[in-house]
Amino acid sequence: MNRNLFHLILIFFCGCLGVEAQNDSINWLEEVRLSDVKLKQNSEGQFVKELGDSLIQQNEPLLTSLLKFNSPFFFRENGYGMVSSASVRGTGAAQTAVVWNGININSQFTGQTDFNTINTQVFDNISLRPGGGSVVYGSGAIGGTIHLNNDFSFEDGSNNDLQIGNGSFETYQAAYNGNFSSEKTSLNIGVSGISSENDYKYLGTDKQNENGDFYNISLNASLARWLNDANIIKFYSNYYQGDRGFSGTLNLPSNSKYEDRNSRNLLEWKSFTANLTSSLKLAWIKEEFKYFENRDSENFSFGEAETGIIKYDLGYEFLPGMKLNLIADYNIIRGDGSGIDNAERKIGGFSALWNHDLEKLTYEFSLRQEITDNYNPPLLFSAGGNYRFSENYLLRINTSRNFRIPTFNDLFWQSGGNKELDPETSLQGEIGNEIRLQKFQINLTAYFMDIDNLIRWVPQENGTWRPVNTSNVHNYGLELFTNWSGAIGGNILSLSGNYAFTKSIDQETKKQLIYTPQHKITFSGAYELDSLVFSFQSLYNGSIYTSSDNNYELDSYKLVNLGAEYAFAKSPETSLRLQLHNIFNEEYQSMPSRIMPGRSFNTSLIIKF
Amino acid sequence: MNYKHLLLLLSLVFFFNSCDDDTDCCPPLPEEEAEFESGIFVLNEGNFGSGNASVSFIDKDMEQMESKVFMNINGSELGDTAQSIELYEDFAIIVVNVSNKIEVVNRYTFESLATIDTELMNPRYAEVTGNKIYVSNWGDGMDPDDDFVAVFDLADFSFIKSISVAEGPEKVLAVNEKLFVAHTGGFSFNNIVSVINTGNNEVEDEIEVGDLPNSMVVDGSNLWVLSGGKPSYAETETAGKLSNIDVSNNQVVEEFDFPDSSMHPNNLSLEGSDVYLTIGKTVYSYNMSTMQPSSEFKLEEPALLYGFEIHNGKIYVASPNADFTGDGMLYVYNLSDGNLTDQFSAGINPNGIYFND
Repeated sequence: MNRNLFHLILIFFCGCLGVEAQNDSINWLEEVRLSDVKLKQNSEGQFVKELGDSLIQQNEPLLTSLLKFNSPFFFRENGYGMVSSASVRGTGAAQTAVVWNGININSQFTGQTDFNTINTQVFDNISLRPGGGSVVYGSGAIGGTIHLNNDFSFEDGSNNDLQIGNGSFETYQAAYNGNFSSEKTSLNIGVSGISSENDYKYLGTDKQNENGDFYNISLNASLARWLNDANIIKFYSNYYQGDRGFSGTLNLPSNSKYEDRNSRNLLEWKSFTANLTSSLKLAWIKEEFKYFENRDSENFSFGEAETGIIKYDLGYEFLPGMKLNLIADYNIIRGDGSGIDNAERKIGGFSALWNHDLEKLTYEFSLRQEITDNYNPPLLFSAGGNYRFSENYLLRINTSRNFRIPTFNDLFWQSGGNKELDPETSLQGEIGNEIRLQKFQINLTAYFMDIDNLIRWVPQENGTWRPVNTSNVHNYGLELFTNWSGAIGGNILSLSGNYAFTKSIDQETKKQLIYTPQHKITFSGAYELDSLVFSFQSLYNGSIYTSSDNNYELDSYKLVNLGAEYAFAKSPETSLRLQLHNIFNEEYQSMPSRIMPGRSFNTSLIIKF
Repeated sequence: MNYKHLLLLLSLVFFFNSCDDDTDCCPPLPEEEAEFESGIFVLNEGNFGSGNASVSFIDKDMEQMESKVFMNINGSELGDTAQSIELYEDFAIIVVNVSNKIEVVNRYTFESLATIDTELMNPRYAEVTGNKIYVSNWGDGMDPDDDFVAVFDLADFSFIKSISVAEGPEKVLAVNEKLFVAHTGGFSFNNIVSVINTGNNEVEDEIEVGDLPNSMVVDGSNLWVLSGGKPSYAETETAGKLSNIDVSNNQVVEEFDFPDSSMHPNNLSLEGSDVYLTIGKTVYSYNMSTMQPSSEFKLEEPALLYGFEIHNGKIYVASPNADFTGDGMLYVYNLSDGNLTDQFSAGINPNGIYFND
């Protein structure tokens, strides 16, 4: 596509080209460095919490493990390493979108991401963005979005991280990340794997976790290359392979096995012309699973879906800090599997994003309309702003309408699929306060969400199950992110705490939704003594109801982990880390009869060169 | 199997057998413990994988409801996903599907007599005949060829035989020397009733009936088999069918196809000389001479008819919550006019109603 065409499009849309051309290299830098610029530039009115690479590295490579100790989100786990889903702001498992380098990767079949099938160690940062985000991130961005990102640098050099470790229950892990860059080219390679026998004892019983063995490997490569001063090509690729025995429950032995094979590829061509930024993205995603009810047999059920996306994004900066993006995209998804017979859907979409940074005020408006014959697409919008009252205080306000489209299972499942389903929609508002003192930072957000047309599978009169648009749910609550860091005795102490108070009330029964705790707290910290670092992580999970009549619940639980890391060599920088998990040997479960591990340890060796 | 219970049971069995050859016969059961002498049991299957199946009991005056009867008497949980109960003489034989076991208790005291937890895989329904317990099993749900009926000795609960049968054996009914096994098909669809000769424990016949035979009643030498038909998500939806089988020669002597392929009848019941069945939540009476169903009334309260019985002029419906979490309900209606007369909160996901009287 040539420049003239860009200008034509621009004139067509706004007819105002009298603006002085300028070269905003800072914006460019972000556009070049980040895979998902919108996360940075279109989150006005919303708080984004970034978990950096050192935090990622210090945690187990399963995304659940990282987030349950470092976010106010709640996770339901069918055992360590087993199926895991998130509840963000009291929403269901399919109402949180997981976004890989800007692209929504929730399963086409279930609408959710299994958080134990994301190996965190190949990502440079993982960001949490509570609140709606469907205009930019699509279906499922209702409770919040979780972003897996790879960044580029052009610093002319290389660095490599290698980590190997082992721990309780015959758990082995290894990860390597390498960044290589010149002024023109940047390459990141990441490989991470974990395997575990996972045969931990069920505390308080004489049983142990059986058939819970698993391994997974994630490969990541991203490459960026400047073609000339104004054009850059970026390519991201991720492959995930994981096999798991599905462990049974306390009462239900299992001999099943589940295999995941996921690949994600994204090619982007970015072009900068004076005030114009143009981005053409092509993405291809494939998800594939096989389920063996009996792992010793050859019988399995399966599903595979391929998604192709083409997306064109044209940004025009009228003035420094005043920007409009017009986006057109087309998605085609094909799925096939046991119970799903060659399903297909095509979705076209148009979005407009307006963004304006003033001295103290920053605000955004955005709209998205999809066109598809697969469901009735609602008009999505988001409007938000930040106002900086002082150096110490920032106010955020945001409102948005978001949605979750029916999944392939909802629409096409042979026994019950319902092609008449409407998307779930959510209208929400939030007010956030950011207080920054010298060493202390607080983000406190209050939100309200009205979710309509919740899709649920319910038994019909004749006994068959069908998904239907049913309930209306109101979610409201408070979310607190805090951190403090300072020097004590000449050494750095950093502390961080999160809290969520969540109400998620079915409007018909006035009961709290199942699997949504009213309280969740995390608290963690690290103390650095030269070459020795002590750290701890802890969480409190309030009780959760397991039945919609709120007659049954799972108890609350508290977990504490301790860690120590000693750097014993400088060149190459080499350190040894010891971690103790669940030091109080707390017996806990986040799903009924699915017992989680008691006390355990792991050690790892980390080399940076 | 619990050894102590086995001993108790052995003594019990000898007691019933009039102690004909034993010198040291057994102590009689203390009578004051017959806490469940007369009333209604509701079987609550619980949540799959959660091990919270239970049995509720309602006394005969329909005033008191006791939950978790098995737990209260025996001090242990019933297990995971209770499927059905077979009441025979003094025994209540509880089939616990996911736990792959059978709990045998005294039906009047609910004291545990034995646990059978071998030679079962996905057990569904049990029937006692000729002092043997027959239990239908799906085997591995994904494997169409490993389904079987397990046979145990009622005297000592020892395993006798595993009889290989067609896919998806469900309800079992003994008539004379035969065991009729209705095959709904398990994870698939099936349309046969297999006949097991209880003398030699061999399959002697397979009778083709409608798709998904879901209920059977016997009336003299006639076995009536009601098939629900294939559901709408099947490749071809089929209507229900009522088949009349002559039990002496295993022949279908007459059959009636329901007029519309969307009609999926269930819960064939015999009350005196009247025949009833359900379609959706509507109760139909069925005129055997004209072979026409006529609509009686619709039961509005239940989320679905998960358990259904007609007994002494009343309709009993066990209904889970629509989302299959939390406590379900037992609804009682007059058979004459369909009016709701009683309702009780049951345990989690009630699926069956059984009468001690």
